Parts: sequence; C-alpha cells; structure tokens
Amino acid sequence: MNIRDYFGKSILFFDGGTGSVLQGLGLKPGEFPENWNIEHPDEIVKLHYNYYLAGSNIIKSNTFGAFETKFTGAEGKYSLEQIIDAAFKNAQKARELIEEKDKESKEGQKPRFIALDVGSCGKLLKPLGDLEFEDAVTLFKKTFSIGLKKNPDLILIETINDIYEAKAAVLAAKECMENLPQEKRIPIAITTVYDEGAKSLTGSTPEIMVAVLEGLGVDALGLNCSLGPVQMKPIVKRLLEAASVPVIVNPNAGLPRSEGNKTVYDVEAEEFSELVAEFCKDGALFAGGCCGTNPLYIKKLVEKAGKLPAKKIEKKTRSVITSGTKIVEFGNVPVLIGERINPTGKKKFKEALRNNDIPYILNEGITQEEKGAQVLDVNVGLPEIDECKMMTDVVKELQSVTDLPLQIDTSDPITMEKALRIYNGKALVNSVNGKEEIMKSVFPIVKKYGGLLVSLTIDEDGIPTTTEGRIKIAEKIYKRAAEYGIDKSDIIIDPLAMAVSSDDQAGIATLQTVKYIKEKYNGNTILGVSNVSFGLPLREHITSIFFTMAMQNGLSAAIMNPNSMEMMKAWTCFKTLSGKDSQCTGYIEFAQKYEQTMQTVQAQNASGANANATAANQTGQNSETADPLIKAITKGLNDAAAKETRRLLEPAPDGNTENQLSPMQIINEKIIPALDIAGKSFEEKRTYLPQLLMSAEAAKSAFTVIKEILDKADVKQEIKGAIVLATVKGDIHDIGKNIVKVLLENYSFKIIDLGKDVEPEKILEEVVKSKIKLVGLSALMTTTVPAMAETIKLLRKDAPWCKVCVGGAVLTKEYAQMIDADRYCKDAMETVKYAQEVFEN
Amino acid sequence: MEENKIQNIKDATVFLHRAKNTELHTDINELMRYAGYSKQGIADSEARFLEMAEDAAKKIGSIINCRAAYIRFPLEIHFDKDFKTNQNAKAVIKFGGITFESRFLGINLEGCSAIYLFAATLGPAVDKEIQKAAKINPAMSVFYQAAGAMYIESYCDFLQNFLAENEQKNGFILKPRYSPGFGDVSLEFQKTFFNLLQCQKNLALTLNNSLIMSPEKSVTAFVGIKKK
Repeated sequence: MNIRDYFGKSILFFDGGTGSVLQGLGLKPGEFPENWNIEHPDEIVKLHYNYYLAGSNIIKSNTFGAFETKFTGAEGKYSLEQIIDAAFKNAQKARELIEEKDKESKEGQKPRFIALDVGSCGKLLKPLGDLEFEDAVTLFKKTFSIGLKKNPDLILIETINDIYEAKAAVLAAKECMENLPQEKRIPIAITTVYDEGAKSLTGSTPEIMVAVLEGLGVDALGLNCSLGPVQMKPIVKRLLEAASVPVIVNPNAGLPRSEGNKTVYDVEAEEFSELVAEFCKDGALFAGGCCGTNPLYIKKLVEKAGKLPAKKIEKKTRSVITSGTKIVEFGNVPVLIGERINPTGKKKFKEALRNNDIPYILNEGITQEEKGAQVLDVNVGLPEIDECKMMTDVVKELQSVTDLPLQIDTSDPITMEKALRIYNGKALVNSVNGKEEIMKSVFPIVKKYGGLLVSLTIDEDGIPTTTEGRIKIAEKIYKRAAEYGIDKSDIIIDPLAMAVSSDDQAGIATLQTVKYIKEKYNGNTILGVSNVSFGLPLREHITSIFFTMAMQNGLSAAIMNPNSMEMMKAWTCFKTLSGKDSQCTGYIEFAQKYEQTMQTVQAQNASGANANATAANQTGQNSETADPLIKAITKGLNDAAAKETRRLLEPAPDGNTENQLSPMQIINEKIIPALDIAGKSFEEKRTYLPQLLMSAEAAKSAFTVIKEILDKADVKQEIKGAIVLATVKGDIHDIGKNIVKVLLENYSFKIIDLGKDVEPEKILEEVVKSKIKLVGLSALMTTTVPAMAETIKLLRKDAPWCKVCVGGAVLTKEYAQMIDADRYCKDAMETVKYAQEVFEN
Repeated sequence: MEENKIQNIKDATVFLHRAKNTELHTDINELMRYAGYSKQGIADSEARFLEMAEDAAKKIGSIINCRAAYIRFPLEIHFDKDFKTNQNAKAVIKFGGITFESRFLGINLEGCSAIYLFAATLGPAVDKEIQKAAKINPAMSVFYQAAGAMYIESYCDFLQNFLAENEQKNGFILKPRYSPGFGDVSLEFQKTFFNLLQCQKNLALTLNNSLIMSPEKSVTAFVGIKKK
C-alpha cells in the first residue's frame, strides 16, 4: 500500500531521536551524523531497524543536514550524492530486515516506510540573514532531486524555525516533483519548531503556519524538537483546531539538564508515551519523537496508541491571510485594507515609482498601519516602469518594515507569480475575474503558492448592471476555482462598487450582491468602496455611508483610505453598534483620537502668523542662532522645520512678501548652513549620532515642503550628482551606509543605494550604466575588507573615471590606501565633504 | 586543527539555556555608551535623548528571546617553556578532541582545568526592529542597535552567573569570557562553535560565509573553569 492510502485513515508512528542515540555510540561533537552513513553503515542500519522493531512505521533517512553547502565532495569531504545514496542503502536494508521479521510474526506485514528527511539549510534568509529566498529554494532542490531518485515514500522537512525557510523548502519539494507522473509524486510533510510562547523563533503562531503551509499544499504538518510533550500540549491543540491536513507531533524527551555528571532528560519513556498517546486521541495522525528519545520511547508509545482509531479530520473553512507574524481573518469584523500604495490618481506616488523612491512607498505603508489598516494593498503598475521588478522590490522591503499582511494587486500574471513566490506568508491576491482566459492563468498560480483570491464580478461581457448578473459570475468563479482545488473559503468576491454619479442604481446592485453572497454561500466579499463617490463633491460623505451600508449587508473587507477620519469613524461605529466592540473600548479610543485630530486641525488653521513663534519656542532658547529654521534643523525637529519652511515660502497673512524667501534661498541660506552646524557639532563631539540623524530628518522635512512648492511651480531641483553606495559582498551591516545616505541626500546628491552584501560586478554594472563619478563602499568586518579590495580593483580596471571612498568600523586611512581607495572617510560628514570635492571639480 | 577521539562522551552534551527578558539587567548608561556617547556626553545629554534611550531599552527588552547553548569539556593546556618571557611563545590548548595554539587565549585560560563554550542570542526580532527603524527613524535605530548590544552583553553576564553558581558548588570559579576573533584566535573558530553547539538547530542561529552571525545580536565565547 502507498503511504498516501494511510493518510487520515490510521495513525502512523515516526521514529525518535538520531543524534542522541549516535552520541551514545560515539559520535563526536561537531562530527556530521550523516558521515556515519558511509563510515558506520551497520550502526545506522541498526538504528533504523531498532526503531522499526519498536513499532515505527516511518523511519527518517539519516540526511538531516544533507546540503551541498556541507557535503561538497571537495577536500576529503563526501559529496551530497554519496551521503544520500549511502543513507538510503542503510534505510532500505533496515526495511528489508524488518519485513523479513514481519513475515514471521503473528501480526504479519506492517506499514514500513522511509522518509527523505531534511532539516534547515543552516542559513537565515534575507532580510534577517544573507541567504536569498531563491538560493534557499535551489539548495533544497538539490537535496530533494537526489533523494527522490532513491524512491522514498515521503518527504519530511523538519526542525524548521523560520516560516520563510519552510516556504522555500516546500516550494522546492513541489517543484522537484512537478514533472513527475502523478503516481511518482510523494506526500510532503513538514514539522516546525515553536517555543513555549507558541511561536516560532521568527514569530509565527500555529495558525499562521497552518495557513501558509496548507496554502502551499503540504500533505501533513506539525511540530518537532525544542519542547517536550508537556510544553507542546497547547500548541498541538491549536494546530488540530486550525489544520485540515493530518497533524504530526514529534516532541523531545523534554529538555536536557545536568544531574551530577550525567545528562538526563525531563521526561522518561513512560510519561512521554502517555502524553503523546493523548495527542493521538485528540487527533494527531503521526507521532514519534525527537531529541532525547530512543526506541524504548517509541515502543511504549506504540503500545499505548497503536490500536487507537484515527480521529476524523474536520475540514476547516476559515478565510485567512497572513504575513510571517500576523494573521487576519475574514468573515467576522470587516477588514480594512489600506489603498494608498497605488498610483491611480496619485501624482506624487507615480513620481515615486518613476524615481524608484522606495522610502516614499514604505512610508505610505507605515502611515497606513499607524492609522489602523490591517492589510496593505500593493499596486505599483505604471506603463513606463518594470512592474515585476518594482513589485518584488516593494514586497521585500515592505515585509521588512511592517507586520501587516499584503494584498498583491496586479493584473499581470508574471508579476503576480513572482510576488507571491517571495511573499513571506499567505497573501491576499487581487485579482481574478470571470473571464475564462484570466481564470486559466490566475488559478494555477494561487493553487501553487496559496492565497485568498479577490474575484471580480466581471467577464467577457463586461460588468453586469444587475445583481443577478454579478451573482452568476460569482457562482461561475466559485465553480471554476473548485475545479483547480481552490476552496470557496479562499475566494473573496468583489461585486464592484461603481460610481453612482453615472448610474444612480449602481449602489443598490453592489449591496444586494454582497448580501446574497453572504446569505446564500456564507461567502466573503470585498469592495474598493471609494469608487462609488467618483465624480461627486465631498466624496467622503458618500463613501463612508456606502461603506456603512455595505458592512450592514455583510461586507467582509474594504479597500479604503485609513487616513480618512470619516471612513475610520464609519468602521468604528459599525463595530460598536453591531456588538463587536466589547464595552465600547474601541469607540472610546477612537473618540479620543478624533478629538485630538480635530484640535490639531483647528490649531493649524488658526496658526500661520504664529508659526514663527511656535518654531522658536519648540527649538529652545539657548542655541547659538536665533533663526527658527536653522534651529529646528540643528535640533532635529521635523514638524517645526516643515512649518517654518512653509512660512518662509508663503507671503505673510497680511499679504506682505518682504520676508518671503525663494526655495533656493532657503536651501542655501538656511538648510545647508544648519546641516553644517549639525555636522560640525557632531565632529567636535558636542552632539552624537542620533542628533545628527534627527537633524538630517528635519532637513528632509524642510526639503519635502520645498519640493512640493517646486513641483507646483514645475521647477526642477538641482541635483549635484549621482553616487553609488553599497555595503560590500559578504557584509550584512548597513546601518553606517544608511546614515551616509541620509546625509548625502540632504546635500542634494542623488543616491543609488545598492544595499548590503553586494557583488563587485553589480557595483561595476551600475557605475558603467550611469557613468557614476563616485562610489562609497562600506565594510564592518575585517573578513569583508578583501571583498572591498576586489571591488575597487574591478572598478579601476573597467571604470577608471570613478572615484571610490570607503568607510566602516575596521577601516583606517592606511588600510584604505592599501586597498587603493581614493579616500577614507571616517564618518558621514567626511563623506559629504569628499563628495562635494569630487563634484566641484 | 587535528581531531582526536573524545574521552568522555557524557561530558560532550550540549545544554540549552533560556532567560526571561525580565531577568536581564538594563543599563541605560551602557546603552548610551554603545550609541557612541562619551561619559561627559551622557551627563550633558538632553532629556529627550535619554528618553529615546529608555524607550529603546523598553522596546528591545520586550522583544528579545534569550537562548543559549553551552558545552563543557575537560581542558589541557601546555605552555611553551618561555611563555612568560617570550612574546611569541604559544600555549597549546586541548579540549573535546580539538587542539590549537594561541597565546592570548592561553593567558586567559591559565590555571584552568575545564572550559565552557557557549553561544548566546537575543533572537531575530531585534534585528528586524533595528532594520525597520533604520528605514523610518534612523536616530531611533542607533538606540535600538545600542539596546541590542547592551542586552546581549547583559544576557552573557546572566548566563555566566548561572554557570558560575553551578561550578561554585564543586569549588570552581569562572574566568572572563573570550570570543573568537579577538587577539590571535581566528574568527574561523566560529565554525567550531557552530558545529559543536549545533547552533542552527538549537538556537536558530546561523553563520554566513563571512563568519558573521545572524541574528546579529549574538555572542560566542570560551569561558575558562578554574579550581578556586
């Protein structure tokens, strides 16, 4: 029988610990257990056999750390092929032996399987570590592709700490089997590690793991290692409640502690087996052990749980999306999706996209999060830019600064696939519609990567004006999605809000569709609500009431502007009035915020003339200079700097233009001198880095105001020159480089920031492409200085016109000379000075 | 580095250690020092910067997940005869089947009969918070960075106190910790720490090709054990 035939029908038992058993047999600390496949094959066969004998149905091949990074085949090391080949020979031999024995036993043949076992690839993925997501996939693929040739029954990915790595591993497994005939495709199982707080080390809860892994289509999931069965109990319960696939539980025998000179584990075999058998009663369908367990633990476990019936798995129908650390459920309280990362109708945003201004886009995301958005829509489509690259860049960057799940919003299937691939979590996907061609291209992508799919009620004939027409399309989408294996719970219908200004019945049709989907299918719906008010004055009035009506009709989510007080008011009040705000705490909190905002708005309206006084007050009285803008910048006060800049640019309230300054005057007479003061005071150690950075930020606020004015007047700001910045290959420290960047930007240089861990070739490519005159390289570790030297050498050869300045903790003037840099800059201010020197000549 | 057989396998168990964030000592002055402030600078600093430092300590203190792995070996050291007088003389250090030469670590371990190797980390959430702040609030990221540095040292102290208490019962004391990469102990030694302590599996701590650890707020170190 195939292992798949047992899934959901009977409980199968894994083996237990390998490392602890091998240590007892003489495995040296630091020695690779996988080497024993070749050096002590008999011991490994015995290890497997003993587990089979104890009652294990599945043994794990001794390939936990089998990656080509470790087993290179060079310098006397074994190759990955050799290790995996030997591991499977041992496992198969053990199986042959036990099958012989089974034949003789009274109970007859038992299910005996071999799992192709792998653990973590040993490196942390970007942005936390230095491994690219795609490189992680490749690493796993290499191991799987060799392992699959040995005819394992199951792939087991285990002891994974990071959900992002879990995704890479599962994708690798799937892709290795994509081209195999159906009968050759074996199940993929994965167990991850949790701490006592029921989170993975990167912060994922059991529910998040389930959402992401089931989205990726794993056949079984669960947990192993790190905890004993006692600590696992609440986590197992949550996994069982969330999962629709079989759950695996492989606990440690507690934690090791020293007792006298001996190492003991918390939990003995008897207690262990009792506790784990309980898990089986509760519904776990795979059970075994991890560190500290041995065949005795498994024997006792099989004695207690071997005859238990497999509990039937209820199919769960929660509609959820996640980031790596946050989960959002649809169908209860309406979900707010921030719409601001979208160029439609936003001039500034379009410009940010054209200029590759990622910080602007990130800020839009963070602001929306602060205002209460629960999901961020990401739409970066603009005809003149490379949408795919921009989308993946923005997704990568956004997921490093926000915990919110994202909505991947694109009509291009390639962009959609690339973004879903690198997305850390289960995304909201916008969108599919009722057109056959679109469904054909989008459903397979969502099936492969997982996701909650926004489905528009539009098809080849356009948008139906009637409720019936839209429902018909929604039903068609449900049906077609099911054919691809996508459940209704992973579909969210968008009945499309249309402008009431062009069709006064438009609101009704949409609302009725929302209601019908909810009542007939208990289905989820989503609306881009602001479309409804298009073409009308004071749009917020219409939009917010429409939003309220839609929620009353059962709307699950709205794509909206969280910066709009009216919208937040509608949402908060709706929750309070529909019994979803315990003791009105949500409303009271909102009311306080509302009052504060109103007061600020009033104060701003009344100010104008008072701005000068306010700025001066805020900046304190003791500074050397009395100029409010200079003071605001040197002190690092963002708001005061912006306000003062605005005041200087505009005529006085009485129309007097005498004190009005031009943008260039402000830059040259105020901002630059202020930055110089801040820089000097830092150099003289009268102030410290945080204040210097705050000054830079304040100057940025002033620049933002100036830019707004210049944009209105259509004046192009002078850019002094473009500089490439990078932290060199192998080095992942970029704080220093980022500081230099902030300062240089303030001095009107255009910065092309290539990030950290950058290949020399990539730097050269950029320099040649844009004829760059100055490159700044940063390195923090002595070990990465050679990479810096290599980069400079390459630049000298192929871009001799380019100057290079270097900085970072380990560098000195002498070092810089040695590696042929043009200048050593000991801090950000020196870099600015050098840049000015280079571009003046 | 030559590898010998381990004499006593029981001594080669990797132990895990955890600490609650509330157990760690918070030292704002130390944090300010890591942010680049001099003693005078701290004394003269405006209140708002001290507040930022305190906020940073609070924020980072709330997200750290302190975990460590350690291993204890019997230790043998052989000093060159002229060790005391010749600056180039070495000590040969042997433990756990590993033999290597170092002068500086030899000085640190003088008189020791056993050694701990440990790896400690604050977990990945700290790195994430620092990265995030660097993009939206650079000044705060400096304080976060400093708070991380302060807390990992604080955790190492905590761990060492715990080990010292255990050793004290048997009449041993601990020497100050010594990390690879310092003096004449190559950073290459990180690989040995990672192999011995199975840092990836036990702590989700990883080493990149330039021997930098991720999560970044992590420490590996030797700690000598000496008869009182």
